[in-house]
Amino acid sequence: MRTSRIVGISFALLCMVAAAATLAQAGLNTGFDVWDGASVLLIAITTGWLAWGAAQAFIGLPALAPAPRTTLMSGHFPATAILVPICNENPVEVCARVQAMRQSLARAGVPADFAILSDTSDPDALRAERAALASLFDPTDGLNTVYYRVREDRRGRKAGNVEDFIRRSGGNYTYVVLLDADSLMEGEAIRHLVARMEANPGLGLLQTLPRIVGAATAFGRAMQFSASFHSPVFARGLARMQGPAGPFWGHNAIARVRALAQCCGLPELTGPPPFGGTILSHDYVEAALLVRGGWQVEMDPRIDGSFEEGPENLLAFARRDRRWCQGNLQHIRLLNAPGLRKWSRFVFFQGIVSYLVSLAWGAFLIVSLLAAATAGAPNYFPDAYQLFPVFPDDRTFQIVALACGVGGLLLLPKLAIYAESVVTGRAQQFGGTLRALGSVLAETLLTALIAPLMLMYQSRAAAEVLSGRDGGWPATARGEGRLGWIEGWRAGRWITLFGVAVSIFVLRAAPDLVVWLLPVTLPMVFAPFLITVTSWPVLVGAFGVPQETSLPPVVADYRRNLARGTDPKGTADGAIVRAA
Amino acid sequence: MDEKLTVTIDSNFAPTHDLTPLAPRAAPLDMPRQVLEHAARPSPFEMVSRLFLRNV
Repeated sequence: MRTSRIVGISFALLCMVAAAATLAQAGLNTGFDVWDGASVLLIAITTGWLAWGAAQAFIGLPALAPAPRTTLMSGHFPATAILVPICNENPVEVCARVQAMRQSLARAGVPADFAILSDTSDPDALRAERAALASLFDPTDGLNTVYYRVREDRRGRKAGNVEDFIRRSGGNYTYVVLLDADSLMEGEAIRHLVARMEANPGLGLLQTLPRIVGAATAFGRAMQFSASFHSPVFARGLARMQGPAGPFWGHNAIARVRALAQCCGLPELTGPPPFGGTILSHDYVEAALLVRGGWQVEMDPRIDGSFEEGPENLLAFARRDRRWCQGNLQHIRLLNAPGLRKWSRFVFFQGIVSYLVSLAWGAFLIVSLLAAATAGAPNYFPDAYQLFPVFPDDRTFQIVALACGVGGLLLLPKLAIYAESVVTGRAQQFGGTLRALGSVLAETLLTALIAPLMLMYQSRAAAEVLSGRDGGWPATARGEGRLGWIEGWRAGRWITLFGVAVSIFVLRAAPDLVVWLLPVTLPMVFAPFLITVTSWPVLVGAFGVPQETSLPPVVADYRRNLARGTDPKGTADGAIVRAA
Repeated sequence: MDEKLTVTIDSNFAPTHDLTPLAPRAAPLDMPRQVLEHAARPSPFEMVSRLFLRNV
């Protein structure tokens, strides 16, 4: 663990210094000015961040040892509750998911209870929720009782919802499995989690790596593929570096109730939002508090049977990202929190930088343009009495080297993960070597196209939070996969405007840079088109993932249950929304 | 669950009785609030004030 951390941080620092030195050298060739200084600083930040991500992938390339084979004593299953916090959700989907997991638990012989913890506020949605869930409270049900409670004092959002359960009913249980409203877990996976907790009394929380299921649009399927193909390797790297001070992602995890009660009563931060008030990204904080309390927090990407759904279009992704941005930047307040482990502080720092780095990329772009625009014409005869002209040094080599380095940090991890999948045979699960390569290339192309849009959305989100604007924690609209042209135009028109303005500025001030900037300006100009088109459904063959070729039983049951269900009625504003 | 209920739904999807018994059984646990912020340091003015006004 220590070696992995040192290797990862050293690699990031090395790349950071190399990029800064290359750009500084290019600046020195032509007289180092204030623009060069700013560029060097910004490229150091952005490259360092890219290299840190790449290091995680490289460290995660070797396979982990097989997961420990733990078994529970026969006849003994510790009291376990599966918590399903919901808030103005589609109740038919919630019912179908709980029913599917109950079927899976019954097959596995796991006697865990469900607790549906509702924060639903809209009276119509509440009526629909109660009606849809009624079928779960069947007195003939066997092993898995379903409880349901509605919270009227909705303080603390999802973390407060879970906390309320622990405070009122936690004494009934040894473990809680924490889910999101769109989570699905196999009964066998839950049995494995409980057995792992029983085998290690010091383990406070065990996080799984959920696979995304059910994506239908180009954007959603690309994310689903990436989460299945790339994420396990990144997660292995993360697991190696974090060790027993691992992450908690808020759902698809098991926790020891005693540890949660002891360490995770979250306070309100002093001052108003966005930096004060309720802690929004509570999961990172809870993980840090558990570690502070002496508990181990582990993430294990080897655990199968854990699923969730992802955003189906760029707009939904950006909306979720706005919430996460505010939550992560709020952690600036917690960097100096008393008693935290250094690694926990570093995890907060990482989360903060992950959003600030978009601002740094944007600033780098602007500084580069201003530097080019304000550069005077070359002076070939700087001395009064000079026979031969002095040509300015060419910066092309350094700039090309830098571009190759940054491109390499973006592409090499993906290519390395593809090579790993071929060597280990994992590519076969993704349709074979060629089909997996096609998916990797298509996903890379799509990511490159939407990267400038994500940069704009993230920069706007970070700027809003830093200027003190509270975005709250609005629920994400669901069931909105395909966007219309008008929705796409509304969502992307400000990016188009910015892209056109930048293009005109570059054409007038630094025409030599026009071609270099096309990969950034073209997607910006066509932002509404990209947002709309990537929300269209694609053929199931594209971006194929193993969980489609062999549908996990709990997912199959969920779909069957949903098909038997009725249309949700009376939901707030007619929208199907989910809890954060 | 100790008290199982058969929920009947009227035409407006409204449950015809209280669903409170469906709530998880009570077994309270203490969950202390964690300290995440250092106590605010008093300003020099406040310190001087405390020194001179402590018995006021």
